[in-house]
Amino acid sequence: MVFLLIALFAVASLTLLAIDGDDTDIWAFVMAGCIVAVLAAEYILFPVLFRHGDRSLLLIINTLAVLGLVFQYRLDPWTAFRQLAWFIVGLTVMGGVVWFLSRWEGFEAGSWLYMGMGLALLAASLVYGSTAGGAKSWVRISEVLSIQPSEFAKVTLCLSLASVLREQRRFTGYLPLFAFILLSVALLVVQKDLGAAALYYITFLGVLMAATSNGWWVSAGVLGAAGGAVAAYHFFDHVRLRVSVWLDPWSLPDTGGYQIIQGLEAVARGGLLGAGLGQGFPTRIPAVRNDYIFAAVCEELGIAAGIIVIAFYLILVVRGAFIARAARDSFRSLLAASATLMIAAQSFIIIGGVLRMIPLTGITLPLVSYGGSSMLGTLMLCGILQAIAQRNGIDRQSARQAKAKRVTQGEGP
Amino acid sequence: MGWRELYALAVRYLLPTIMAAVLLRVMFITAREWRAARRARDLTPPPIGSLTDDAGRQYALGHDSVLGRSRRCDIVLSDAGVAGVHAQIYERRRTVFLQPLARGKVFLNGAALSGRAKLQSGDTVGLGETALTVRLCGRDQGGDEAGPAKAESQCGTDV
Repeated sequence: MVFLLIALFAVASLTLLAIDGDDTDIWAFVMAGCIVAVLAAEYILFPVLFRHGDRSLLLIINTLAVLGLVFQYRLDPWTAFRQLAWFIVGLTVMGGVVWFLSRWEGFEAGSWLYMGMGLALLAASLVYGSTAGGAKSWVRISEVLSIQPSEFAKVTLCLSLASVLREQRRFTGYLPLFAFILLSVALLVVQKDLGAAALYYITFLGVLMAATSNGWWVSAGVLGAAGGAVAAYHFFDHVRLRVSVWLDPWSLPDTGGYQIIQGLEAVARGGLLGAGLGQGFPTRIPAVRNDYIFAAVCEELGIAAGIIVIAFYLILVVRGAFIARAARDSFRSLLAASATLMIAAQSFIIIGGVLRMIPLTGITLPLVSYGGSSMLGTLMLCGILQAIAQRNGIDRQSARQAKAKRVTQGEGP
Repeated sequence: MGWRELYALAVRYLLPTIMAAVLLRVMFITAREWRAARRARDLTPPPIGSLTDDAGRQYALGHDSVLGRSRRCDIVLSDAGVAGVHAQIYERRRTVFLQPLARGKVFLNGAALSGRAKLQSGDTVGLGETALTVRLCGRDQGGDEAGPAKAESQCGTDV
């Protein structure tokens, strides 16, 4: 039923975009049809393939993705179709992740493998990367295809955190993980991908707290981050620029502060219900298709839509917490927690940056922003959540069956 | 106002409404699941561990369990050497304690207890002639291959 609402959202908004302007845009109807087809496929396939998957999570994913697709179409129809292709690929990959994780046991032991893969991915973008938008994090695969390895490194980070932190160790047992984190963050800072660096570190601290409940360590980590930030401020120009632009963008209205100012003005122009789809001027904002998509949503659909988007990410956190709590062993629990935290932290970092609550960093709004790697990475993390939810459901079922058997055999509950 | 403008106006209100509707529906589902989990947990709180005697019989440990021969106890032991109300095993701030209650002796891993002691998985508790092996629920159980599997069937929530 809710799928129908999402489909209606797509059809209504794309129809508006189709009739807006002088000629009727046929391709908008094509896009609407494609979206409805994808939603229908999910509606039919999901309960069949993943009996215990988290359907609400799927609803959240689809709402955000459809919102993103509509806005990508509004900004540039060609990128919207590319985004749609990546979405379909991503959904398939999400299913693949669920299947993959359910097939084998022993994932919890591969901590060295995960850390190695993570570092390799980040190093790859350092070595092979080409700069785009100030960050050196893109690797060109072909003429039209470039990926961001740091997005996939997110998955390996979650796996590393979960596989190391699942059991209590002596302090020396955690050192490889700490070294891995520091190296990853350093690699990202060197590539000027400060948003990803912050994201990794925040996720690490969060999962560390969840796993060890050791407030001292986490506080030490926060202090270390503060120290690192201060050091970065002194040593790196681009950090200084970001901070000064954050504190007073109007001092650099034509260069550094232009993006932030345009974003703020766009959000303000939107008012409560927005200027109307297609009526705003989001193209004034640099990087509006990826980093600043939130400002475009607020400008054209209003602050109300912005608040609802934020609420969706919060609900995602709650559902991720449910999945983590229901997990039977600590590896799966921490894996769910880290995946949830990654998605949530990423969305809050970029929304906070757009609204000038924190300095702006170049990361995408999960599922809404344009970006194939970002979409894939986020859907892989969601796949991890669905896989754990699926496993929780299976465990719950077998526990119920075992309990029923015990009762009927007279052994007592 | 032409029909195009009318449609634009309708869509202007429709889109946030749909988003809000989806959000509310997801919130409602989440709240319902939360309440169901809460109810299930209140009805049957998960055991904190189990005690196994030599005969292989298992007793589930609740948050606070009293052991003794009397039928009023949570865990009733039929050993003649066990007092009516002999000992208590309870959990406080993630630690499980064993507290002797009667004048009868309580042994922990062979040593007689004079007061409260902390319990760990694998400990042996002696009351009268009965020796009970402790298995505690919790993320890190330790123990042999047979242990965790058996204890897991007692542990775990039905969330």
